[in-house]
Formats: sequence, structure tokens, C-alpha cells
Amino acid sequence: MRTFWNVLRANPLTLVGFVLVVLIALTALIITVAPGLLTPYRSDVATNAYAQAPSWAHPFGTDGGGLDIYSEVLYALPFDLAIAFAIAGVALVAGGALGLIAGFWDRPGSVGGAVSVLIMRITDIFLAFPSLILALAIAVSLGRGVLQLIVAVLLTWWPYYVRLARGETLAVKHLPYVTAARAAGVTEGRIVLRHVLRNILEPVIVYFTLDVGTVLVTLSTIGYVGLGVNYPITPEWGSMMSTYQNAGLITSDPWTVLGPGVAIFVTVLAFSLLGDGLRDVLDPRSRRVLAGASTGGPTSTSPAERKEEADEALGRSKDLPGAALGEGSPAP
Amino acid sequence: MGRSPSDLAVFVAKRLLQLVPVLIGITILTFVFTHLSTVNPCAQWFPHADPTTLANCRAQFSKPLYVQYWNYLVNLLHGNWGASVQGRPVYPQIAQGLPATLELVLASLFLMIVIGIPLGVIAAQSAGRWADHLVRIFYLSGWATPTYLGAVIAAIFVAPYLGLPSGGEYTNTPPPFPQYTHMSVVDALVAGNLSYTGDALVHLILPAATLAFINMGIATRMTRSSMLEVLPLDYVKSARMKGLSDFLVMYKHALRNALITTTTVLGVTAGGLLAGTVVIETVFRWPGIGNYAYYAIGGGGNTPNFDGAVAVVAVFAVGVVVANLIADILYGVLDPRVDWR
Amino acid sequence: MMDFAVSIEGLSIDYVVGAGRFHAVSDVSLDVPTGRVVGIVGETGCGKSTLAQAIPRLLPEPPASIGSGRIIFRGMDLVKIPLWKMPALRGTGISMIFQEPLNSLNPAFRVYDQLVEAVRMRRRREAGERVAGPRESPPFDYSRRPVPGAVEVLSRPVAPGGATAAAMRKTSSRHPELREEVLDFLRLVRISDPETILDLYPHELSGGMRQRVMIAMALSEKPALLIADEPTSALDVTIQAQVLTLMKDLIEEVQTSILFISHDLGVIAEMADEVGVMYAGRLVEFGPVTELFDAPRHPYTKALLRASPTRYKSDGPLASIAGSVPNLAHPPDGCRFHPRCPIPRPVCRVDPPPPLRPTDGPASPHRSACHFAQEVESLP
Repeated sequence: MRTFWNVLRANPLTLVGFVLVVLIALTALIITVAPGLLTPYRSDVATNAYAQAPSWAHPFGTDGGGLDIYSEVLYALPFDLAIAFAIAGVALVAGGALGLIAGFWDRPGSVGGAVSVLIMRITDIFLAFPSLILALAIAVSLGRGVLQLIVAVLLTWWPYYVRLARGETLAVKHLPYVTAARAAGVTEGRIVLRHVLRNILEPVIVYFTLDVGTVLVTLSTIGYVGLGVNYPITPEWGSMMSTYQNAGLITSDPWTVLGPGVAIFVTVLAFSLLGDGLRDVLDPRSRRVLAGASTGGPTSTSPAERKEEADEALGRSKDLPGAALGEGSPAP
Repeated sequence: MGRSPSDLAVFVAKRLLQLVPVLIGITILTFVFTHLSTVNPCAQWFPHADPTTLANCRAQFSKPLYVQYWNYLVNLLHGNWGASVQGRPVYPQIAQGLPATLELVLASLFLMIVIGIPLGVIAAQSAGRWADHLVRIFYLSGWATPTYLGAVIAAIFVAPYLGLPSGGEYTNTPPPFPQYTHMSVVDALVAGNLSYTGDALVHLILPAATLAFINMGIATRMTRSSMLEVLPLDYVKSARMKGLSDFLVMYKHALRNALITTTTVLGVTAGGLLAGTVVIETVFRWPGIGNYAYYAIGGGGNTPNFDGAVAVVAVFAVGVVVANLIADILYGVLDPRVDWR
Repeated sequence: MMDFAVSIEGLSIDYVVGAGRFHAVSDVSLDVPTGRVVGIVGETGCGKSTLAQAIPRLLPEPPASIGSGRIIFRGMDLVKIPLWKMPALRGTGISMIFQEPLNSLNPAFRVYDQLVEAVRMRRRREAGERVAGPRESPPFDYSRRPVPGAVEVLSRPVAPGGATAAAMRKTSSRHPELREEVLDFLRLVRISDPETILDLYPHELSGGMRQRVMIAMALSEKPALLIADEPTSALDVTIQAQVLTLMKDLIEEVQTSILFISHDLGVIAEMADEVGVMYAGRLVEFGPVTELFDAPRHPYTKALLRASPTRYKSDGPLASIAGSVPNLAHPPDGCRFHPRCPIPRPVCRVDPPPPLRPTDGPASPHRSACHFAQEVESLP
């Protein structure tokens, strides 16, 4: 607990991010259980004020249907947040598991090796598509709705965790103490769970924190394009923007951009500040740099190591298009 | 030492060859999309089409899978990429839109490099101090802005404030000269029409800058991390001890090595840029494939253009793959320790 | 009055890390007379590298901070000079070679490019051009600097043939005089057929070769002062011997003053004219090399010499110094060595010995920062 606090203190921006995230989570909680505390208006209940500019009664103004934008934004918060978390979480678990398997059991010529290759080939092909575009395409074919939205983004998202988990697993797999554990007779399963998993957890969690923001941006963009959920049935920031745009409100009453825009910007910024700050402190590369700087010692310099470090920096699979295809396992 | 020009040719050729399986994989995936993704694709995609279209559609889907795939591949290679519901062929539209998108992406890339990388250097030089924090806020703000928000704000608020146009490639379209490349600035330059060149540039700058601002984060962050790795190393001290100015030490000696790792993010950045064009081109009415993708996918409540959507998604994927390829080659060129053989 | 390449007076350097101050160097004074080799020896963490890198102001100033003291070089106090003016003094004024040759040469550039950069820099300064900031040092008469001596003229190949000829053609023929000079300096460091390595990258050279290239690079700017920060510590023993021999020859040929830092007593004994011993950030003993090693006057020096297996052979276990190096954030009161000293007295716990100061005179006397220096002789 104390190290977590130290991590936060390392950079003032990280602390700002953390505080914001906590505030946002609290707001989401309050709006779900006791909305009356934050806004006098109930969801989807029109006021008599149509398309009014921001005022004390309506901090973000109202839209063409008379809905208070500020309230709508608040009601959309738990929805957006929960879905983003859900998608990123499932992608983490599913993709992470696959990546762990692909990284740990990829001895060439074995069943594990074949499975690894298969997993990575499929992952690479998915990774070739820009995530947003792939998600849009899937969303189109699935139609509108909450579940469809989740599935669309999820199908696009799991490969990144596979790549990340595999990269980290490869880095940990050959560490001396893993070999020592194996020599001591610890079963493979135990090694995976206790040693490997625990070590890849840190960078993966950091990535996850940043990723929540990215998922949020993607799913709200899907809403903006006009797919995904149907606003005003389900409030969602991107869909709100889409509705305003289609109603021509953005040009006639530009303040409508303010509500959902500020909401998503602040939310994603909060997670990004937190995640970026965490990454600074928890990234093994920068930790090595910090350690090396104080003694003035050299960091790794062999060409294979540097390339592998660069690849690891992105969790990038060494079998991405461009690297030697057909290799079952990377060089240790 | 495997770094002669002939070795480079081998290096590039090997990687080009590795493209082929991936490209095939992409076509398989898009094929899966088109033919297997929905239970009743014909009803889904053409809900209001007439019976003959529906019947044709169903006939296509009743053939065995591998036949379908083979037909699909053959059609692809012949430029027969299908047509929209209204019958407009996909291929010519994409062929025309691609250079325009390329122009936009390259302009954004240029801005990202020219602004983002020095920002990363500055952040690394003053790590932990206020300049570093400012840079971080800057690029995280870009990262936190969804493309649609950035585009809308840029087009509706920033453009009139700065006196920039809020859309289109030229003020008066079509321009009075033949568009050979469909890249606005290039066409105007080739035609020798300087006023239109300036006009094209002015129209290019805001969408490119918005796209760059949003996607700059990765490059800046990566540059910062690599520079932080490189700066404590002894050769930076050696460079300083030669009496070189701080600027030369940073940009000639340190950055040259830090950039090696930064090229690895080129692929990811390309993906982000291409995805961003979908919204940016739509808001800025830029006639590229992003715009095409938006409407093909059914954005804004239009009828989806199924063939077009699949085709444009595949083109984007190819773009990302090519960008990764370029990044790989660039890495091999920049890092003198990589053997090209 | 002796001419000094650099004169350090009462220098104190702290590292500010978080809330603590780490006293890396405390009140160190020493001079490097022109044309002589002054060695600094001590354990890891004693502050010698910090001292070495502080002279050309190479330390990153936010964590490091020079508390007090002066560094007099060419009549200027380097501590007072703003950092952005320092590049003008580096290279031709003060040059430096480092420990890890693979890390000290830029891996992205070829040998020729790195050397020619140094040569170009020197030539431009000799021609009076302003490079890297205003030059406020008094004009230095470069004509007095000797060119590489006769030795390497003899080692020039008569007519390069075969592979060397091809290698010669590859590198830049645009500036043949620069190329010739680069080759001259490579021959100076006893690299035969230097044409063959011009196009190579640092990772393609052997460790000893890399170190020679680095020495060539440092010397090619004909510095008044060369600081060698553990230049042979990362080399194999045989290569180490070669490089040290090379450096000893160069001292006579090139007439640069050298400040030689090492933790290896044997290396210092071979290279230096005068030696300073540092412990826990303080200079505890200073004197002519043979005298200091034959008859040390500080308990730490004596213990160090005794602990070195090459000097005192015994059948029993290796002697070591009890205790460990103090935490420089909170150094011991009084004499910093007193917790580990074999002859501590009550005054040592309270009263720090006066810091060593160089005295005027033709030869530096052997001085020691110990209250009981005269007793050290009788220690085992």
C-alpha cells in the first residue's frame, strides 16, 4: 500500500489522474443509486426548455428535445464507464490468458508450440486492422444495441492483450528464478500461476488503466458514427453527439458539444494521466534506466537485446508482419 | 558485415515476401465477414431491396465456401470490388480516395514528427520538471480527445477563429486543372497553379493538425522514454566532451539512437492515423477513403454499402501492414547493429 | 611557480535526491601540474568519478549541485561559468575518456565520422571560429601544441594494397586532409592499417581497439587536460597492459596533462606521477607516487595497500578492511574513516582532520589528512 502511494506521489500529474478517477467513479456510483443528489432532472424526462444555451439551471444547456444535457451526460457516465471496464476487463482476461499460453508453451515442435503459432497468427491478422475500423465493421454487421456494441469492440480488443501478455511472458520466462523453480521440481502449472503471472500482472495492469480510456474513446466513436446504442433510449456520450449532429444542433447551437465533449475528455484524461504515470514508475525499462542512471552503468546494448526490448516496449509480437514468419519461438 | 546495398535488397525482399501470407489472411478475414458474419446477410444488408437483388444475393451465398472464397479472391484481383446498393462500383471510388487520404496522413505524420519528436526530447531533457509535465499534459490531452470531438471542435470553433476553411480540399471544387494524383497539393503544384497550391495547403492544415494532435502521444512518449534511456549513456558524455553544442549532442548524437526504438511505434501510429481519417475526413469533407468508409459503414444513418465497407476495411488493414513493414525496414536501416542478411 | 593545467580548490559536490543530500565530494583540493599525470585512487563510491566529471561540468546539475569551491582552468573558475558556455571549453580545453568503450562511442556512427567530428571541431577553433557559444577563455596559442610525433610517421604503410586500398577509397575523399589527420591519430594510438577500421561501427571492433579509438578521439582535439575515468577497468588484463603502455608513450609524445582515475592501485602506480587517495568523498592522502606507496601516511591507504593481493603476499586469508563504506548522506562525525580505523583516538571521533591543501613549491610534499599520520608507519 505504501509503494502504491509512493508511485502516485512520484509525479503530481499521476496524483491528479488518480483523484479524478476516484471522483469519476464516485460520481458514477452516486448517479446510479441516488441521482437526485447530483441533478434534479430524471433521465429522459423533457423539461420545457428547448435548445437553451447554458445557464444556472442547465449548466450544459438543453438539447432539441428539452433534455438537460448536464443530466444526460451524468446518466451516461456509469453506462460508458461500466462498458469500457467490462470490455477492457474481458479482453484482458481472455487475451491475457491466450497470450500467457502462447508465450509460455511455445517450444517449437511441440503441441504447445503449434498452438502458440496458431494463436499468434490469428492475433496478427486481427492486429493488422486498425481497431476502430474493425470495431465499426463488426458493429455494422451486428446491428445496434448494447450487447452488439460490447461484442464488436471486444472482438477487436482481445488481440492487444494477447500480444502484451505474450511479450511479457517471454521476458519473464527465461529469468533465472523461473529456471530455478523448475529445477527445484515445481510443477509447470504452479510456475505459471505463481511466478510468471505475478510478474506480468504489473505491466498488464498499467496497460489496462490506459486502455480503459482508449476503449471508451472507441466505443463512443462508434456511437458517434451512428452505430452502437440508440440514444436517447440509452444515454451514451458518443451517441449523444451523433444525435445532436444529425439534428443540426452542433452548427445552430454549438454549446451542445460541450456536455458530452467535456465528459469524455475529462474521463479519458483522468485514466490516461493515471496510467501514464503508473507506466513511468512500473515499466521495467524505465526502472532499469533509473537504476542505471544513479550508478552510471550501461544498459543492455547487444543488437538482439535492443530489438527485443523495443518489441517488448509495445508488447509487440516478434512474429508481426515484417519479422520472420514461420518461427515457432523467438530467440530467448 | 551484412550491410551493403545488395544486402539491403535482400532484407527488403524478405520482408515483402512475408507480407503475402498476411495479405491472404486479411482477405480471408474480410471474406469471413462478408459471407459468414451474419445469419441472414441478405436481409440484414438490403432490407428494402427488391426481390431480384435479394435472390441474387441468396444465390451467391448458397455456393460452397471455398468456391465463394475463390470467386472473392479473383474478383479482388480484377478490381471488381463490388458495388454499393445504388450500383456505384467500389474500386474506382477507393482508387480515387486513397491518394487524398494518403496526403492527409502524410501531412499529419510530418506534423507529428516535426512537433512530437522535439517535444519528446524536451520532455526527456527536463524529466520530472515543469516542462516535462507540460508536454505530458499536451500529448495526453490529444490522446484523450476522441477524433470526432477534436474534428468537430476544430471545424466549428477553431477554423473560424483562425480564419481557416472548415472543409474541402479547395475553396472552389472542381479545380481548374486535371487531377492526376488526386492529392490536392500535388495536383495544384504539378499544374503550376500557385494560388491553388496555397489554397490546398490552407485546406490541408487544419485536418492534418487535428489528426496529428490526437495521435502525437505515442510518438512523443516513445521518444521521451528512449531519450531517457540514451541520455545517461557514456557516448552522450563523449559527445559533450568533444565540445559540441547542447543542440548537436541532443539531436545528432542522442536522438539518432533514440529514434531507433521510436520507429517501432510507427505501425501503431499508422493504425491510429488511418482510423482517425474516418471521422476527420467526414467532418472536414475531405474526399478520401476515410470519408468513404464512414458512409459505407452506414454512418449518419445512411444505408450501408456492404461491398464498399469490406473493401475499405481491407485497404486500411493493408495500409497498417505496409506501415509496419516500413517501420521494420527503417529500424533495420537506422540500427547499425542489425545485420541485413 | 608551477604551471597548472587545472587547480581544484575546496570543491564540494552534493547529490540532491528526494529530500536528502548525499555528500559525494567534500572539500577536495588538488592541482594537476602541466605535463604531469595525477592519479586518484579509491574504492567505488568514494567520489572520484564524481570529481572527475565535475571538472568539465559534465554532471547533470539538477541532482548534482556544486556546493562550494573553485575549479581554476585557464584562469577561469569553471564553477561560476554558466553551463551553456561550457561546450567552448570542452574538447580542446578539457577532454575525457570513459570506462566502457562500447558505450562511449556512439553506436550509430562509424569510426571515421566520430573522429572527424572531433578533428573538425579542433580545426575550427584553431581557425578562430566561434563554436558552441562564446569563447571567453584567454586565447590559447595552438601553435605551441605539438603535432603527433615522429613515431607514427614511421608506422605509416608505404603503399597500401588489396583490402586496405579498397577501404581507403570508400571513406570520404572529399576532405583528404581531414582523413589524413584522422588516420594520423589512429596511428598515434598504435592501430596498424587504420584505413581498415574507418568504415566500421563500434560494435564491430574489439574492446581494446575501441578504447584506442576513444583515446585517439580525445587526443585529436589536443586538449590541455585529459581526464581518464577508469579507462582500463573494463578491459581484459592483457589488453589493459597494452593500453596502459600506449598511454604512457603518449604522455611523452603529446604533452597533455592527465588526471587518471582508477580503483586499481597497480594501474595508478604505473601511470601516475602523483597520487591522491579518496575516501568517502574526502581526499585523505596526496603525494608522489613511489613515496606514497612505499610509505603511506594514512591508515586507509595502508589498509588499502595491504588488502591488495599483488603487493603483500601472505599465506593466510586476504586482509580486508573491517566495516563498510559510510552512507554519504550521513557521514560519520569527525574523521570519516574513524569507525574502520585501526588506530582511532578520541579526537578522531569529534574533530575532522584538516582538509589537504596543495602548497606552493616545486614538488608537492607528501601530505595526509590524519591526526596521527606519523604513527601510520608503525602499523602492520
